[in-house]
Amino acid sequence: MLIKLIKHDLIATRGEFFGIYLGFLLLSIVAPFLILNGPEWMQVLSVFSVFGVLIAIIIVTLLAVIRLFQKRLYSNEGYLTWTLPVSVKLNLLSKVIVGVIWNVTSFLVVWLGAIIAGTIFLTQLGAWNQVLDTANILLVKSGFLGKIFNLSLTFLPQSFVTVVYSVVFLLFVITLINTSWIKKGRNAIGIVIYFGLSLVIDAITTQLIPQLPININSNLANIIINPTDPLLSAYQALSQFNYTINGGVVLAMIALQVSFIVLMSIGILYFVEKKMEIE
Amino acid sequence: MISIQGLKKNYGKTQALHDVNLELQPGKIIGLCGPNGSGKTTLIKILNGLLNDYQGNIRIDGQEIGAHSKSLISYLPDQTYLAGWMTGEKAIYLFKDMYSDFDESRMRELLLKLKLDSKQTIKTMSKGMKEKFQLALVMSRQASIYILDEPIGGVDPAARELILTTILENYNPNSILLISTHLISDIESIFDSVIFLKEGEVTLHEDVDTLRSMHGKSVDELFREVFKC
Repeated sequence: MLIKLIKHDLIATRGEFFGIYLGFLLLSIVAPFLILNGPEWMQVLSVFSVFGVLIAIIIVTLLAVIRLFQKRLYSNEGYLTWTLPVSVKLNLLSKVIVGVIWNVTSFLVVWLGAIIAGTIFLTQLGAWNQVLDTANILLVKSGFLGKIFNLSLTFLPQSFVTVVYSVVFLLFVITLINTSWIKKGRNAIGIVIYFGLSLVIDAITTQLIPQLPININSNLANIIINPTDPLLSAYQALSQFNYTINGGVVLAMIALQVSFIVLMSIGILYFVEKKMEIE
Repeated sequence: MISIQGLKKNYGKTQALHDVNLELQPGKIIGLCGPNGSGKTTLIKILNGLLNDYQGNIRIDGQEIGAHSKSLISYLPDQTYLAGWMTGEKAIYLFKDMYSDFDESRMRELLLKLKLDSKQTIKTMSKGMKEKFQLALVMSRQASIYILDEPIGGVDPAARELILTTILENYNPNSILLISTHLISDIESIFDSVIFLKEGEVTLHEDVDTLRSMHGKSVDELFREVFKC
């Protein structure tokens, strides 16, 4: 039943995402040509369009997840959602999973667009060999790429937990404003609760975990920049890039976020099962 | 089948339902009658798990309101609950997927009878078409309980008869059919029993035949007497 719920929630929300994804990917293809070959005004416009659509993806993702919760759970569509023959837990879980799916998809689409644009740009410049050689020296031989890759892998679980946390947090606030406790001005109250609670949770996190999860040691101050050979200077800078991960802090941050997810999930269940009022 | 004991519901200081006690058994068409604001929709929303902040005890088929009760109830709300982007076909697909008792062939027959185009999106349908489409979905289920909230409230008198026929020809005779309405004269002929709800309280719950023989009046006449302004 969960799979069916997820399927129908994805079908219901895909329209909001596909248009903006398609627009972004098309721009990623067209923009490099315009930037390199078009008149100056078009170059400027292309750059702004790419950034504009990029910001739009972030905003659309946020708004679509809010709409997914508000429309499908607590407005007229809620009459259907909550009368489906499934438990409250399953209904909510489906919404959280779909929220996470769209967040991750938006992230992947942004990367895909960047790769497409970068590839076309380099192809148009006709400087593939030179670029590849430079990249090989700066990124591979310096060990920089490997370190960044390891760093990304290390933080992948935390990033995923953060996405789940942000989706559950949104659902928590939206559910809270649709209870019998709040009768009027639900949207305004929701915005205040969202930012207020964010500040409180940030303060708690800073108090409990004051250390940073990573210490970056690049020794940049010791590097002498050679103006006649900037490649060498860059190579030296990147090869000396190093970091130490405070594993305990990373685990503590994950544990804290998971605790918040659990607490908010209990709250959401309580709100729905005991206090929910569909208008 | 449906047991309601000591049900109370407040909206702030306003009392919507006060000490409602009801026992509803299968095989009956029950009219839930009362003027606007009497608590009909509130009661129906509670039975369907849409309002959860209430006091009292409700059992449907012996269980609290939840996934089981929702699998038994086929519910027609007093507003559109299908998304505007949906085509009729998408709504049918959703119902087929989610409700094991949904009868697609019956749905197709109803579409023809009600002259509805399933390829049309919900947002392009007129108000009457939306109501008829939702009714077709709801009546295409072989449910144990049908709860219809003002099914003839928003349609013209000519369409009312078609809607009532659709309900009568398609409901499961062994089920509970609970119909809320304030248009009693149009619908009282199909009721086996009626519940009068006045300012959140059940003032009457009686078989229609008993009522007629006791008072010598139609349900509509009695309703006008009880709810006289």
